[in-house]
Amino acid sequence: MQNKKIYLQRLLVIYITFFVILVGGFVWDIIPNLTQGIEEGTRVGNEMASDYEQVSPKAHYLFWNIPIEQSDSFTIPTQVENREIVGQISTLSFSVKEPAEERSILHMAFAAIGNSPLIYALMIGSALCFPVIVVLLFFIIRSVRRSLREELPVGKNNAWLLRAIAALTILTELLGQLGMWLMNSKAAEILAGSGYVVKTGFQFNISTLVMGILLLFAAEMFEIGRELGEEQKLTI
Amino acid sequence: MAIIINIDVMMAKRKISLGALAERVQITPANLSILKNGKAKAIRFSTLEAICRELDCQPGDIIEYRPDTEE
Repeated sequence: MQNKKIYLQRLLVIYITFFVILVGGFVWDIIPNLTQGIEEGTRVGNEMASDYEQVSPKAHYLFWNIPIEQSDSFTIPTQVENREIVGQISTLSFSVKEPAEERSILHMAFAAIGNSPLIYALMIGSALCFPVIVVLLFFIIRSVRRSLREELPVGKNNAWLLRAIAALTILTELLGQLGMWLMNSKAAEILAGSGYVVKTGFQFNISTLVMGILLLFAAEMFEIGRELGEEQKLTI
Repeated sequence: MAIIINIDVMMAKRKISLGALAERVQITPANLSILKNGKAKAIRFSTLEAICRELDCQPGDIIEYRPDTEE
């Protein structure tokens, strides 16, 4: 095959870049957030257990990055003369603690996000899609590299892997935004009358959806190209 | 497919083997076998010309149209 070396080098560069971004993302983003989440979860869990043991069970639940449409502005102190800094809250994270007489400890645990096990399930579901996408991408890259090395046609299942990645990309976005919308709605109820007005509209990250559709298109292009290649091979 | 290739009939008449015909027509025996077994999707005019020249026949002697039953 002509240009085999160039294609292999390009794939290797993509492979290495992908790996570096994964590791970097893990070290700089996922691990710190996970560590903070584990600490916060442990603290809340210990408080819940302690309240439960004292026969005064309390529900603890968290809200984070709630978009605020309207809040009172406030002055931020500064050491520079004649400078005035006025702040306004645009997102809010808070925790709620209230009596929970008739709920099991398991129900309270799974309602720790937004006071709803459904929100918990949606957020976890959205987060779990990402490692699956990463694994599928590794399969595709490995399959293409093997095909190049052995000079064999690229497998038909790569189109299905791409379609699966596209579906998971769109699903991640939909599940995550549905969870956020439910959480924002619950936060609006809790913050009613507090001076903080929550934005409760459903929001999409259009770029993620467009990326999912582009991946679907790429899968179709791959399959069509493969079929045409097969037909060309069978032209004597 | 409705187009049938009857090249084996002409090969038997001219007493020529698959390998020998493939060499004269300058295609691989594997490709000629694909043609003979009806698995080919298309044939180039240059290939058809070469086959007809070597088998001394007309295209209609080796290509037949037989409509599909569902038509």
